[in-house]
Amino acid sequence: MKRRRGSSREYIWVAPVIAVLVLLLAYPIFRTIQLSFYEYKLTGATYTFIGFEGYWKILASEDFWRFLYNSFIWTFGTVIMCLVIALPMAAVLNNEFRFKAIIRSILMLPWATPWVIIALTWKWMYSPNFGLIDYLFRWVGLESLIRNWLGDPGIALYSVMVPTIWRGYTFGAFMYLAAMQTVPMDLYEAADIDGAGPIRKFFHVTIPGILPTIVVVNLLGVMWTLNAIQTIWIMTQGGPINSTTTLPVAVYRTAFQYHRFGEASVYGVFIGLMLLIFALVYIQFVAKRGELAEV
Amino acid sequence: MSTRFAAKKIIFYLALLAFVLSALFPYSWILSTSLKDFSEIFTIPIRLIPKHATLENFRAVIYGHMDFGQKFINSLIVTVTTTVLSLIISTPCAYALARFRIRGRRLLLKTILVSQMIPIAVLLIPLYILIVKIRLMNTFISLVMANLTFSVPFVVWVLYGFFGRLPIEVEESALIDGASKFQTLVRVVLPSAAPGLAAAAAFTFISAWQEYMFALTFIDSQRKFTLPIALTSYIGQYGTQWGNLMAASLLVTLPIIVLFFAIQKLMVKGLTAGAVKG
Repeated sequence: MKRRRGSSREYIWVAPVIAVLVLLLAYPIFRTIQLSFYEYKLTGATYTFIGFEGYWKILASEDFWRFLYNSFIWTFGTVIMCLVIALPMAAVLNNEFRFKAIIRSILMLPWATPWVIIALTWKWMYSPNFGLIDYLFRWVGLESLIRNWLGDPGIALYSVMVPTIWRGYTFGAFMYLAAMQTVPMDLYEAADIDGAGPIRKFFHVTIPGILPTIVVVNLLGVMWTLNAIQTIWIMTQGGPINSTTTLPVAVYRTAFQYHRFGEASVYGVFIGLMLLIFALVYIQFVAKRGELAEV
Repeated sequence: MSTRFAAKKIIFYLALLAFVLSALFPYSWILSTSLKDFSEIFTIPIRLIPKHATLENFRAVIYGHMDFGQKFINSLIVTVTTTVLSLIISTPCAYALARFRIRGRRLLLKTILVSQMIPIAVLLIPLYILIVKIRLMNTFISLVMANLTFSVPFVVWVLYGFFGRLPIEVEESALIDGASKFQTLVRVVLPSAAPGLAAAAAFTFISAWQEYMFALTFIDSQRKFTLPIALTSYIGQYGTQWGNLMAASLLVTLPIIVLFFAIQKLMVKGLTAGAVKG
């Protein structure tokens, strides 16, 4: 079965997927862009064309820049912390030790945990007075550092990032571990001959060897983290005083609490534009690695 | 030399211990809270091991006003339908992309790759308006439909990777023996791609089981709640039943964890195929 020039009948095989892509993905994107130029009221479904007015209004509002800043901290803070924790974790797991299979499974637990559960559990752990976090701080004698973790606008965003990092780094670590196992042994042997220690070997052999995986995991990480609404929504609903409102959270709240669909769509378009950059880099990268090549 | 070796070993095990504790401590807290009665949850100092362990919370969740059984069935209906439908829609497409020389193949592949990155914030509003317009609010169909936006591109991508790596000779000889392409797919390809199908199905199941944003937006009648939405409704304006909530959380997580560990090996393999749901 060499690939013959396809007959049109072969398109039946891909037609259902194309239908899903058009109806459930392309059409909504088109609609979001369209809505961003209108003032839209769901009750009575009335549209008023306002052109770019919605855009100027949002760009001139202080809120938008606040949300953008929050998105930036939230996304890159989380992704960088995940990387910083996941690399050493993968390096540790890449050794032989007893009970390896069981320990690996335990370490996968965060990754297997549904986001809703993570958000709810941490909300309870952060709870003032009776939560585990306050207790731990008291236990180690750092009582003075206790804050209202989710109620203090100065730190709420960081508090919400912690559980996201907790789940995120596990995923990274196992991806890096899988990649580390494919780094050829003779590179390490050559480094041994040069008298390199474990730290040098890590930075000069391991890291370059798994660089493609690092790039892919972190590009995906940026996109997933930026897009995430539910963890923030469950823990703080974007508050207090907007301190945890990222752009996607703003979309949700503007649309479904304030019922301003046009304005929410403008936020949506901004998110789409930001993601587009990362998505294009990602596609180029994956394409170069041959995933899209002729099979 | 030997002290350096010992020091290295100690650091290694300390690091390992730190990672294990980090993974486990939220779970110990969930379990601990779920086994405490109401007054002990709000007792200081906190005890990780409850003084009077009780299954009262689990009883309250299962037989309580929440109607956990109904919510469990709701979630099961949505999740299983999503999974089965995604496989039916995606499998032929993935096979065609891996084996047929159709026009626009690369474009379709790239589109599928990008569509895994489309932000939910962009999808929610138009899908909501659409679902209101075609009167599908408060239906499981609306959730399955919305779930397809993430599951179909993902399943196509994973299966495309699997099919591409199968040896082509067996398929060729089946075709020479007079089997149609469809027969070849069903009788020859699918059995040998079973691990790939299992991984894709399990991934889809896990993502759909915990799907929250669509359910939050498209469902507002209590009777139709899926589990993730039901869980958040324990958070009350006038205080939360944390014991009940943590017990319910355990019950919701358990099926996922079992499934996750059953396909653990496949997962990491499937991951290296390219794209993953996080």
